Amino acid sequence: MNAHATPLPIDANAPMVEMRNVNKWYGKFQALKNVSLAVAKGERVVICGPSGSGKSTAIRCINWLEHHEDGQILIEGVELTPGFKNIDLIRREVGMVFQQFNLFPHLTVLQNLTLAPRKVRGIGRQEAEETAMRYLKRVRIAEQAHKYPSQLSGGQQQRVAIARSLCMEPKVMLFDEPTSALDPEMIKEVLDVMIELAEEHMTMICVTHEMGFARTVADTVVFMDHGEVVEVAPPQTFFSAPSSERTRAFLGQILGH
Amino acid sequence: MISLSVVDILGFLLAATRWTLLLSVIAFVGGGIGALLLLLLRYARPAVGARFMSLYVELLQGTPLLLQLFLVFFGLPLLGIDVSPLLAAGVALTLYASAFLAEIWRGCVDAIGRGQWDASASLGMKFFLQMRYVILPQALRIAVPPTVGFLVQLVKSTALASIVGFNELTKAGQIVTNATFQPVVVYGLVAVIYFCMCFPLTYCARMLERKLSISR
Repeated sequence: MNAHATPLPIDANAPMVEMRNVNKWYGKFQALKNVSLAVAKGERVVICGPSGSGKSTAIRCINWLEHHEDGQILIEGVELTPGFKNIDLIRREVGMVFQQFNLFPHLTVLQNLTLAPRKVRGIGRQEAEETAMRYLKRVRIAEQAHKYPSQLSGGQQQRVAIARSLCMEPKVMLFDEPTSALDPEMIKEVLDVMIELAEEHMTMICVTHEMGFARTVADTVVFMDHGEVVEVAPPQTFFSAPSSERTRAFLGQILGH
Repeated sequence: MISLSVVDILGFLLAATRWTLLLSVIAFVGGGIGALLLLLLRYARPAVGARFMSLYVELLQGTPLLLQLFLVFFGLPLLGIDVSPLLAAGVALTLYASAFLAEIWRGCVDAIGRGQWDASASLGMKFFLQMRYVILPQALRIAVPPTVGFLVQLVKSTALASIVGFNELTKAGQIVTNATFQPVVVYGLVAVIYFCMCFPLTYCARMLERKLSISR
């Protein structure tokens, strides 16, 4: 039904995602303070920072799950504005993976993957299922296609969630602490899938505490604290010679054990 | 005073039971449709519908069903609409059921976590797609036991329709009592018939509750 909607006025030369002086408040608490960030096509960005630093809020603003009150957010040059009618058009291009997986528990794995392509993109059932199986194979879980989410382990569920997002063939993937709810032995299987994606130059913005992941695959590491972007640097610089005292303190805490 | 055998009385009462069942079905189906519309109003944006929904529910939950029945039965003719007792009872019970079912189902929808909304939204699904394919199917599972429970209330509430002269089970009981002067026998039988309609429903609700809690 939405398959024939007017295309967005995309600017192919614009950054994939751009935040310009974004501010957001929850009541009196300012969650985001003048956050600016540009993510180029194919760039892999890791956002880290202590809890409550606004990193999840920042990426949730990118697909309008949270609304910023001030500043600009642009996806391929298209600005997200209050009253923006076609937010679902943006969301089709922006995949998101959540800490709690958020699979649809009443649907099988395969149905989880085909629901949005069929109902939102208007793709036929057979084609949607073929695409779904292809992505399930990529996340190495094709044999579970007919199970329900509750029959899978956390790591398997998160891999299904990644495949579900990929089925919409998004241009950018947002990861909101994708491994934080997992048992330690399952973190690797999810990270492996994410590393593969990164190696294929999928544009990724990933909120995570997995510093190994940041070191190996990120082009850029962003450190946020108290709603501000404190440091933006390539991983070599970020880990060896951070410019900010707050970054050093944070790294000392999470790497120093 | 007429002398009737218990079998005769039962036959007369059972004939009237059809109308109780019909009224229950009308109220449940009509109320269900009304509740679904109220529910969509409640969650759609902008949120003006939500205000209307809660006002409607408050009004209907905060006044006796008997008065609602009177207002429909005596009020509609003032507006020039001629109402039969069946129509008046059907309308009043539909309004009543829609308010209660909407409130029950709202609780069930609220029980579906925020993450389901987020995930479906992030896949580009609009409100109606989210409701139709993600939220309502899950809410439905939790909704079955309380909905059946309410249906039992509704069947019993149809007895009030006797007051506006609708010839359902309770009214039939009054008529037979007046004719036979055997209130204990007659109303005893009426009670048994109500029980026979309601017990399968409560039993069913209990079974479903057990089954759904296992499959979770």
